[in-house]
Amino acid sequence: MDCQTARDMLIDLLYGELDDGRRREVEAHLAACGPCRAEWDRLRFARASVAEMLAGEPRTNMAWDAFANLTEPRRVAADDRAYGAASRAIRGGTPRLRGRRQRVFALFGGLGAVVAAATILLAVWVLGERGTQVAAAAQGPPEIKRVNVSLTILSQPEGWQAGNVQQAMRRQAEVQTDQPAMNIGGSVQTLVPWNRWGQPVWTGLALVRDRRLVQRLPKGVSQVRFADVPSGILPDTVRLRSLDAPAALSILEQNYQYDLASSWAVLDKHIDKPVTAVFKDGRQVSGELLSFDGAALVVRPPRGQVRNLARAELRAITFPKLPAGLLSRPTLVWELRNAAAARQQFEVAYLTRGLTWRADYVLKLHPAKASDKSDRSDKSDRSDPLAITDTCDLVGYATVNNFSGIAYENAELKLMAGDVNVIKPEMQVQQWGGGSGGANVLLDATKAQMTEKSFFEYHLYALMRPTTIADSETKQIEMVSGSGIKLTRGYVYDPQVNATACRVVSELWNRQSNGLGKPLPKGVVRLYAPDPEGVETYVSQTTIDHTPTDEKLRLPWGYAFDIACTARQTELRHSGPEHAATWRYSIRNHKDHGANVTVVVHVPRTTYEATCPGFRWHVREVGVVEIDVPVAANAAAVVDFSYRWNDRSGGGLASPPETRQ
Amino acid sequence: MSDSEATTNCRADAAAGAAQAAPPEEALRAALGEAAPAVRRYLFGMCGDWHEAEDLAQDVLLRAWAGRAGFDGRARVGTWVFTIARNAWRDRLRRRKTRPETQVTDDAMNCLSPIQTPAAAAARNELADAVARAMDLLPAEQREALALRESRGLKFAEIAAMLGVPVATVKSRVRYALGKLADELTALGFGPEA
Repeated sequence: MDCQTARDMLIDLLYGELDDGRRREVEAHLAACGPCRAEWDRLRFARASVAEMLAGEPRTNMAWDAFANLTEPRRVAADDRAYGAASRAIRGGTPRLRGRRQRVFALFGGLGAVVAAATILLAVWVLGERGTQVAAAAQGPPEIKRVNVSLTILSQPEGWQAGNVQQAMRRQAEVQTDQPAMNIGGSVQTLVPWNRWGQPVWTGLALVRDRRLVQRLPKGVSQVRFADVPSGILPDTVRLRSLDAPAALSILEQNYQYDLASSWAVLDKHIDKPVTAVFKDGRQVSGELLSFDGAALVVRPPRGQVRNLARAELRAITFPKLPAGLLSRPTLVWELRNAAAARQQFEVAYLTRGLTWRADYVLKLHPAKASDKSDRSDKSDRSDPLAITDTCDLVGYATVNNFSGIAYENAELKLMAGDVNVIKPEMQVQQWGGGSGGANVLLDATKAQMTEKSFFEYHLYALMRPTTIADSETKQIEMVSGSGIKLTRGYVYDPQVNATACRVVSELWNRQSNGLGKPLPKGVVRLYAPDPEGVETYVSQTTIDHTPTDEKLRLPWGYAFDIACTARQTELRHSGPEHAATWRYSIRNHKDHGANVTVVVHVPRTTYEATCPGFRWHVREVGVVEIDVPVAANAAAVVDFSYRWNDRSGGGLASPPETRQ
Repeated sequence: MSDSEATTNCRADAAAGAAQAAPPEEALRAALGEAAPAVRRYLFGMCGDWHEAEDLAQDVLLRAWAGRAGFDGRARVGTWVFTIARNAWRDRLRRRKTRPETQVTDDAMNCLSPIQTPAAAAARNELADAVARAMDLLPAEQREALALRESRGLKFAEIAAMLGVPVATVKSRVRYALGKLADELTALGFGPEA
């Protein structure tokens, strides 16, 4: 063999691609030829150096692990939704991996199970009809399908802004994990709403009637599980009955299992157990979980040093399986004895927290023009030529909030108005500002969507068609509407509230003749009025209480710009138990139309006599006197109001005869 | 380094043959699993950084999995995956030109560093760094050929088929690459013992 041939083959020799005969020939040549041997040594050195460089290769193969995690075949059939089946699959689902990988997985203490568990739970979560499961005693699992669900949302939160709980949940989640959502391995969701201080908050109350069709229910004793129940459920109110054969079904036992697998609960149960942390870029670290807090996890990989993983960097944490005793969802479990058919309709009725509704009104004002005389004489205020009568359109929406933990699909929705007595748990419910985010507004101008019926001492509003209320959703449904409603604009000057300005108050009659005549549940009224260019602008908002029909609705808005007021005490005398005082109120109207100002005077309860020369006044309630003061355009009015009271024998102030009705 | 290791470590078709009873997807997964370390070695040879190689390798595996319908079975799985890896690396190079490198956090770095004792790491790193620097000086074609062969995933004939060049060209590229590495390392004082 000559040198040229040998050198051409050196590279094959170096990489072991020569057959034995050729190899021996080249080796023989190398033994004999110094320059060729030098070249061989040079190439071998270079390759050894490259090998040295490659020796820094990480021993784990995270690329493969992540890939395996993502592509592991799902071992759950699409129709196999039962929780039991899923957990069986988790236990039985060892991934098929070979050689090196297998060892790695073994070392990682069943990381394979993590893969299977995460995927299967995810599959169940995604594919599974969030629902109903039955763990039957023996043969094939009975099937349960939801037929329909009806919701009666009872109470309205008092002074409590719905939607805050969702925000609180999000905020809490952010505080604890620096992540927008707490989603661990795709399998666990935190369902319990809590406030800023980590206490659970339960507001709202709803009656849920959930009808489900059960098939293949065995005769004799069996266990039925309903998983799709809200986390706000009041377990002591749960009643199950069979609609088809109520007598043949006896309930032996009823359990509500609610030890929810919240992120903290799951992490806590995984101390000293293997977990896998997935970074935001897809990289992973597996190992024993030593400790955790809101900011970091401390993980000890099978080999190497203990690591502190910042939770802000993590996308997810996966666990081999859900530890025993924790449920992914609150579940109702019954032990039943069935003597009837295998196919029955069940109805579960229960009360749940976490569903609220409130009324929101939009009042579109069409203000009366100052020159429009005809509008100034409303029948109810004929005696008052300065009263201004506007017209408006009023639309009331029911704003339904659902943070009960589950969605209600195609639910029959009823809303009960009126303050229902609810025993509240001894718990401080905190409130803070900020409303809910985007609301889902259902508007159908063509027909009334809700009907109203009275029920016991309350009013019930029923939606005419089924609606789907998703979890963590705010939905708005039109409830009442009226147009061409006349409302009287007045001004109220109460020096105790504001010493220099008077409040604008609109009053309207909730009567059918006035375009309304429907019971109006308590809620917030927002006033919109056209600006000088005719563009509708938000003006003000106020609240109304439950207002029955044929009652007057008082809507206090903001303060009038062009009416200036002052109050001054001009006299105060004391002689023993006898006292006398005079106040002078001056009201200056800078508007180009007249205004009827009501001055509110707070007098001692022992007042027995009062005079107000030149103005009509009346006693609104004990200790409160109202004086009607008409003030012409660009004019001023001065009111002197005197009253006497006696500490020993006072009281009994009555309106002057001409204003008594 | 034994040559038997080079050829047995990553014979994807052997794995595929063993997994013949399994459904095709399972066989493909197994083959990908076998090819994964070699792909990572190749990518490391190209970029000189294990973190980046890891990242790219994951991308390659996912790309291969997503495109598994397009794998006609004529080529060996290994060759097919290496083609994907080569394209992935080219994409990365192209992107690198237009976009600055993303910052890897300390935590991520920490969890990816190979596990080794500091003394061994220091001793090894000196030569390894020198090799990595020398690799950077190689012409792109030579570096690619060397990285492909050193990945222990492909033989010369397979590399030639993949690159579409004669086998002799691949061999000479690897030989020149090794020669230049040897020169460079000798210049840096790491020369072969006489």
